[in-house]
Amino acid sequence: MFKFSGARLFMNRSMVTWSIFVCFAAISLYEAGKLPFGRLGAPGAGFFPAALAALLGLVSLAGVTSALRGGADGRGSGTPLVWGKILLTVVALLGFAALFEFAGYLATTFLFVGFILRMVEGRGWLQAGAVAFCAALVSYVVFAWLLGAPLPVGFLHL
Amino acid sequence: MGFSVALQPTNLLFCFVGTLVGTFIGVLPGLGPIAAIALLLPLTFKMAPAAAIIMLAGIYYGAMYGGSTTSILVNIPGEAASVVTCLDGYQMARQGRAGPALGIAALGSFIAGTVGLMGLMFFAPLLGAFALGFGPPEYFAITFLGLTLVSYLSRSTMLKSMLMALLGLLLGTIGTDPISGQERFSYGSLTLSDGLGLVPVAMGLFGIAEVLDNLGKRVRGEVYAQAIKGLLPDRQDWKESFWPIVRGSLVGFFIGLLPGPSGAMSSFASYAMEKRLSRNPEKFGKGAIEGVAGPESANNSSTAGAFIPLLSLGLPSNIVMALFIGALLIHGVQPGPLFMKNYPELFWGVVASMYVGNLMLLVLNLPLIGIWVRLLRVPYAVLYPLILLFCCIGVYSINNNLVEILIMIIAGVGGLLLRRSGFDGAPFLLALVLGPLMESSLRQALLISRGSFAIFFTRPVSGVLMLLAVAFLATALVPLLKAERERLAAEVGRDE
Repeated sequence: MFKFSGARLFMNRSMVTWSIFVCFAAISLYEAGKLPFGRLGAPGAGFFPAALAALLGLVSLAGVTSALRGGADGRGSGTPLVWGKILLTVVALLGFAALFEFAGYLATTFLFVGFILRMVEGRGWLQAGAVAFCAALVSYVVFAWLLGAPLPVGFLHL
Repeated sequence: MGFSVALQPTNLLFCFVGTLVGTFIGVLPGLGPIAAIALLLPLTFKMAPAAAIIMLAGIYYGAMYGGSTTSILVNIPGEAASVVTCLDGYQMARQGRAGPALGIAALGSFIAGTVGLMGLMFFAPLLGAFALGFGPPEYFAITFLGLTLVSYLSRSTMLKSMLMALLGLLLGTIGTDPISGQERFSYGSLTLSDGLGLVPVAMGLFGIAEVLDNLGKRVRGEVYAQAIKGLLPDRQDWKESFWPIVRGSLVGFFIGLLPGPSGAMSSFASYAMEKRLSRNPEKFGKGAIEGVAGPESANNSSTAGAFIPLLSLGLPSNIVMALFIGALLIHGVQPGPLFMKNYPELFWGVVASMYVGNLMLLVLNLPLIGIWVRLLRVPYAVLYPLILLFCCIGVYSINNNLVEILIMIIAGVGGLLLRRSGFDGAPFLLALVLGPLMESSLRQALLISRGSFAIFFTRPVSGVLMLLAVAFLATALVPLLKAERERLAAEVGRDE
């Protein structure tokens, strides 16, 4: 009944997305099964998650079927993603999380903003450094002094 | 009582800060009221509840107005509710009428905001009193209807919206079971034992994902603001805008009551209505002032409408309202039918502050247009690292917990992949918020009925709500099934 080549099957991104949800639903159902289900008159802690995982599985399977048959997908459109920039930005965010408490707010913020401007946006060292310095200082004044947010000082005690 | 609270110097200051920050955020493309409120939420911990809610409300309706400035001057909507303003607002700017377009947007927003507030004052106490008789079946039915409506009205397909809502409900079960106290899916993590935090997930889905999506895009257009003059509309402008403002105010208010992206829905509904009612529909899209006045009024009026389910039932109708629930709970205030009885100063204080805030917006926006225009000229490459930085600080300062920054990053990357695959984040986040209430209501109702689902259909209020939800599901799914059956029949016919 389904007429398409194997190559097209693997290239169907929509089907891959729905299949991931099928797997997620199966894992959730398995994990929910470890919790006490109770009975309808006295539902336990596993009742709601198990019911939801089962429903999620059904909806995901319907999505897989729809994708296999090339049904209306409603895919979000837009310009192509710039994966290099995205990857570097995510690395910068992870670096921020890793360094924040260790190096303190001022140093981490300076490095974070400077890294994005220099490595992601390709700005000159001077411009990246100047903007990063101002961003670190001004945001510190706003968050720590004016708004009283508790920010880590790190080993530099800054 | 309300004005005595709203006019206190501290509350006036926070109202001013909220409207200013809201307008600032609304002007910036790529950062909407959701990210702004999520960002500033942790910073309200030390404030009094009234000051905190007044400031957050100011951000919400300030952002609604701020979005129109970019729509009119740059043809880039600051947030979803301003998309439709681009159609005629930008054309007016190109014709040298940016001033009247900005002026009517500000004045229309002010009038509509005031109309919406009158509706809020009238309907919220009525609904709150009615909801006092609600039990678990009614609350389950309301949350079920709410999520069905959000999925139905979502910008992605019904199947995808349903999946996102189910995913949100499922991830909402992470943490301690509200009834038995048992740990679920936390795998020994202290952070997860408290459940998935709303703020990190919201910041990830709507702040980080938006920035990552915009990387490499050109998010600036040509600013038509060389000579903005004549901000006050003339007699002819008023004549053409009066009824669109009135109709937009009413439509916006009632759409605001519905779950879903009410700001965007109301502005689109108002635009469609004005075009249909106009004697010169061909003017629309070419700089018709009605196409700015109606939608701008509607989206501001919808903000007041959206507060009604929150304050009277304790239920959020959109993501911003879900964040408001978070803000109220942080301050130990439980929204719901007893809210107005237990916290009258807070309720009336916030309502009165909205009048004051609307007036501030008017005073603030018309003279400050020049500053907003200059802000639009700051390169996005410089702005977005700061947006990311603010997201990180905002999330960290909730519990001083680095794991929540990681959750935000994961939600951001996941949100980017999902939005690029056509999945809408709104049903997910609303389900995450409503999940605990939905689960406890369902389980309590089943306990009461000894396991019979009939309890949801035999009580009048929950019965009506459940039937409405089923009707919405049926109208969305039956045509799909019918089309599928016809397609299969055609395929079988071809095979034979």
